[in-house]
Amino acid sequence: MNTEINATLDARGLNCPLPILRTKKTLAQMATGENLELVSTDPGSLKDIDSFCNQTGNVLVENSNSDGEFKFVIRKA
Amino acid sequence: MAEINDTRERIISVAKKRFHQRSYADVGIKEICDEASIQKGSFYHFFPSKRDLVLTVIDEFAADWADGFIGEAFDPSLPPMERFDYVIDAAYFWQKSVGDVEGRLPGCLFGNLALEISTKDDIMRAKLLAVFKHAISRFRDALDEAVETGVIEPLDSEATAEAMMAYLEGMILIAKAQNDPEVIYRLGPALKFIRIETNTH
Repeated sequence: MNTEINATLDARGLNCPLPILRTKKTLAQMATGENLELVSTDPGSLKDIDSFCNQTGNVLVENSNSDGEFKFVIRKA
Repeated sequence: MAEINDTRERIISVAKKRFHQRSYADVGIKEICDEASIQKGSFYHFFPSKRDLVLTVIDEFAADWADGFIGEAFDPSLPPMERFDYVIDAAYFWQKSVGDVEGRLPGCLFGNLALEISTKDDIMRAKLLAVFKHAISRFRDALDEAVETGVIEPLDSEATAEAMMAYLEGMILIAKAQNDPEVIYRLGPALKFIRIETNTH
């Protein structure tokens, strides 16, 4: 199943907490049910994005990691 | 040249991490050299003393903080009072993220150093105070904008901004004392409701 991506955010090279802040800002401009694809290089991203989603009710739909890059798809609640 | 910059950057990067995790007094030049894999002679080539190093660390960290953490939260495109939510998110996720890796919350580097050296070193104290004042001025600008656009009632924005910074630093201190970032998550939302009215002091 292909997830439709409605917005993308390149947070490569940014360290915590900047990827989270940019994610929050981008999601604020999206509609409920839309998907944001985020790419990050911060090793703490997975834990951060996971707890961000738990706290905000947004859904972490996909996450993958290859060559030091973390890719996430977050569905806006 | 690249190598020279690299050595200097390595010293700063190790020192920044160690001073933040422990304290200025507790971390010695030998430890910094060992971890940065450099000779003591190289250290003294860049920094005449540990104090010169910590002053550089404060400057660099302050620039990172102003551009990153504070710059990102006080984005003029955000509604003014929402910017404080971003400050709290930044503090929470930053403390949590370091805590997850190191097992201990580091607290705020500027707050930690201010507690440690304010009675001993006026130059360093002034430098740290300037960092806080810079952030306070960003808080005040957001409050002034919120008043101008009718989002909040008029107030003493300078005093309120200072009170907000005191609350932020105090909250990070309590989170550090409890070694629990959830303190910030729990207490943080109240930050943007702090008010000091005009002419009440």
